[in-house]
Amino acid sequence: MTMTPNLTARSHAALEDPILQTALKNATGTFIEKRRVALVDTPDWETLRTRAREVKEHTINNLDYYLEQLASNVQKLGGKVYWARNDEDANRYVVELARSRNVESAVKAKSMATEEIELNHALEAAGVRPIETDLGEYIIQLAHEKPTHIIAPAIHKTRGQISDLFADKLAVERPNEVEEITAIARARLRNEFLTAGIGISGANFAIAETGTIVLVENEGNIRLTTQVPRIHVAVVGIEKVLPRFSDLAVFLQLLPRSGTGQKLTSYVSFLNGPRMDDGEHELHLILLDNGRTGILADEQMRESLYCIRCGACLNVCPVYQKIGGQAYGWIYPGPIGAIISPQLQGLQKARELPFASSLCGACRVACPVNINIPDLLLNLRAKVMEQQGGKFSERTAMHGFSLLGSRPRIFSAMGAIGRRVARMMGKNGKLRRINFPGLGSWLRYRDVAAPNESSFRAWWKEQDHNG
Amino acid sequence: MGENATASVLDDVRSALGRTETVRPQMIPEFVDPTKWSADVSLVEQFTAEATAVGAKVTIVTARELIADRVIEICRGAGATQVALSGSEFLSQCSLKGHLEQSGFAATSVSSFGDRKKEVLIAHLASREVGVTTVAYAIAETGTIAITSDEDQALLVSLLPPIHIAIVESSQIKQSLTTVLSDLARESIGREGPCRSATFITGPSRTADVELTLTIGVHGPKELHLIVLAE
Amino acid sequence: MRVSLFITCLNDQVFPQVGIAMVKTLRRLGVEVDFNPAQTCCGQPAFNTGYRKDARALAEHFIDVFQNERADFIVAPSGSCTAMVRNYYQELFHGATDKSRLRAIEGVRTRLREFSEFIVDELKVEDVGASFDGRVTYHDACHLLRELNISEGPRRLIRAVRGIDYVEMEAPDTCCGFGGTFSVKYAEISNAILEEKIARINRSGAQYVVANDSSCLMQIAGGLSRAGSPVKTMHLAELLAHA
Repeated sequence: MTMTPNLTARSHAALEDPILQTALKNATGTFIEKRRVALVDTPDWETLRTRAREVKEHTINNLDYYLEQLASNVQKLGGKVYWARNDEDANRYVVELARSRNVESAVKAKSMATEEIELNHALEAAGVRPIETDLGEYIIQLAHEKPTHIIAPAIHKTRGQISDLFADKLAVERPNEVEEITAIARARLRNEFLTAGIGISGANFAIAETGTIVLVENEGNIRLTTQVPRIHVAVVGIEKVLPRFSDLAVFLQLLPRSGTGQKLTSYVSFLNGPRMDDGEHELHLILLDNGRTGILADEQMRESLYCIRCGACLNVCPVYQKIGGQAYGWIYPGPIGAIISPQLQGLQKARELPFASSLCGACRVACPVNINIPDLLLNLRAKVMEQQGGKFSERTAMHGFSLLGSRPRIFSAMGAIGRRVARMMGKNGKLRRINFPGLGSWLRYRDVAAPNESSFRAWWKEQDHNG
Repeated sequence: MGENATASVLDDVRSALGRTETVRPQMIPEFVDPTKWSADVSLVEQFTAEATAVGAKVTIVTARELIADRVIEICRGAGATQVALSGSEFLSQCSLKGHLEQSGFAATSVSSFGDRKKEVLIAHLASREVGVTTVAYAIAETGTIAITSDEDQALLVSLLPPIHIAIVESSQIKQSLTTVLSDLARESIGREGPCRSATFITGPSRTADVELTLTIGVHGPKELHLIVLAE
Repeated sequence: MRVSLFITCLNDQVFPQVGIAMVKTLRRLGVEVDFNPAQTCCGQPAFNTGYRKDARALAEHFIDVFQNERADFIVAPSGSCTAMVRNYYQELFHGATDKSRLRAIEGVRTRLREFSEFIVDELKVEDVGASFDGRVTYHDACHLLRELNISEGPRRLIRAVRGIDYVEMEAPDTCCGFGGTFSVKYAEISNAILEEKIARINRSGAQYVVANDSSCLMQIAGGLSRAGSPVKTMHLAELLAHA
């Protein structure tokens, strides 16, 4: 899918898409309600959140130690560890591995990290067929689209659209019910699992103390991906490490409740090294940097790395609720995407995202690790302005306003002029759809009552005299 | 296989943290789960209620001898004839394979596959209708069973056939996720030893990827039957 | 009790009736009210848009004006501006070495109260002696709710108004879509969020929507007017001044 050029255009397209609007309303509403119900039964939620943040803070501040420990334990268990500095590095490793083992196809479990590095493109270019096996991702892959939601990638597509897609791409009779769609995917993908040479996954957590890779899911495709093919490759961002197995007691309570409102997902897999110690089975753990150490180096922004990819901030975000995931332009959508994307892709590439927020703070309250997302957005806004500067008109306005701000008399006089102009431009006491300097786009959608003649300070002065 | 960027990634991490050598951190104190559990409900009752709520079918049997009958009943109910058993000692003590065969089922135990290629076993299991395993632990709070690779091929037997039957001894049911994670760390996957993997199973395989409609059995088992032995 | 008003630039210049209502209400409660006309803006618009230097200049002026005010409290009719000073000034002056400035900031921060917070928490009053005939619903302004954790106090003040018919709208705590310069930069998204809010306000059956932030009210009023809705907006201070 080709991306339209800027955020305004992409969000316009999203807002004009009635199917997407209905889907977003249903999905975010459902997820919010499920999470709410799950939290009613979790009286110690705040304690868990606080603890999770403490663990993340400790781990990230000692990331070198825990990564070394993780790598050494995975190697002890017979796994191979590869440190990938960037996407190219990681992709090259997987492609060369696939080639050297004569692999024709690779089954993939949903993983943000592999989407981030566009591993599928690299595999396809090398003649290895990647097959997404999460039902939502499978649909997206067949449709050549991008995911809308971190945990429900294909919610923007209706059952009817998916039925057509299956009939078209899979040469099957057009299914009618969701059960039929699911059954077709099960049969097709079961065959892929049994014949694929490699299974590729991400990881929700990687335990330093034991070398365990932990994966959370509902469908069973991750179990199949990691247990059936002889070779398992896990592509894992370096921030995913946790110190101890017992830390999972906190995170496995927080993640499912935040994501889908479940107490626990259908499956949680704990993998230590290759599936069998027979020399034929292999585990390759790719520890991916790809911009993460840049975030780590910035103390103001470091807590971006605490994210456990639950999707709770998407659901509660008024902006995401309206524009959906694709409008964000990259694989990480919603409030957390507005923070991570500009840092991983560079502020040049994603300078719009930090500004596409009303700073309402719902994301901060929903975040299971208490990431102060609005604060991080504000930091990024300041960085954009420092490094690139704002538009001339905005810069001048802000600077001018700031200058007036320390000169109350002029401030007041300018205010009076502004009010008079606004009153002159208004009709029947209202400003509507006029090109008032700087406010044209505001007035395109909303009216403003023409202001009073007087200011508060004028009233005060007067009543002071009279009183 | 490409030049390994070990040194450079770790160097970058250290330099981002403002140091040139890794420092062993002061560990933060162990987590104490604050949850208070009521003693009013028994673990078996709580486990049954939670597992049922997520779509597992739970039956309680009061004697070991009744397990085979219950397994046969489930298989008949599903119209299944081909059953695979994990290499669990408990299942052989129950002579489950014999009972199933006497009742006209085609039953195989993974132990009979010996040293044959893993692919052969996987293909066989994928063609079975029912897989029977025991469990290592169960969690009352979430209705979860935990299976580890200490039980021969239980991970695959519980995954590939569309129906999974698991035998849970009531003494294996623990109160909380926290307890079972610490048991797992101490007794199997976390200790030095041969245990290579474990899976928590909470209800059947599910998805809501199409129009948020809950659908059961997308990749893993469509049915999960739990037989709780409470002697 | 003596308070110094921080009227906020928007209320001063565009919505003076809010400040007037605040004065009226506070005086009725026996509070001595003062206003220092040297005040301008807390710097939030610049800060939220990334212009930290401009924000700092405004904040410095703000602190200079208020640090010497002889008042028990500084009271503002805006959750958002209160949160700016209380929650973000420290960050804005992060790394500043001027000890006396930092002390001054601390002195102003700790005395600053949002209007409803001041009445409920400091005056310990819920019934301010207002009466109002009409059906009213309340919108939780985001910063008031999530930066200052204020949601119950304003509702208690409203419910205590004589003759009022109070109704809750669905999801009163979701954003109206304003967000300062966001509403200009991404006007279409901002408006789409607003439309949801307007629909919920209309469904509530209320004749008036009350909030403690004029910026949210400006957004909501703009949407209601454009939609041709008869529902009117009102700042909490205006409601409480009504006798």
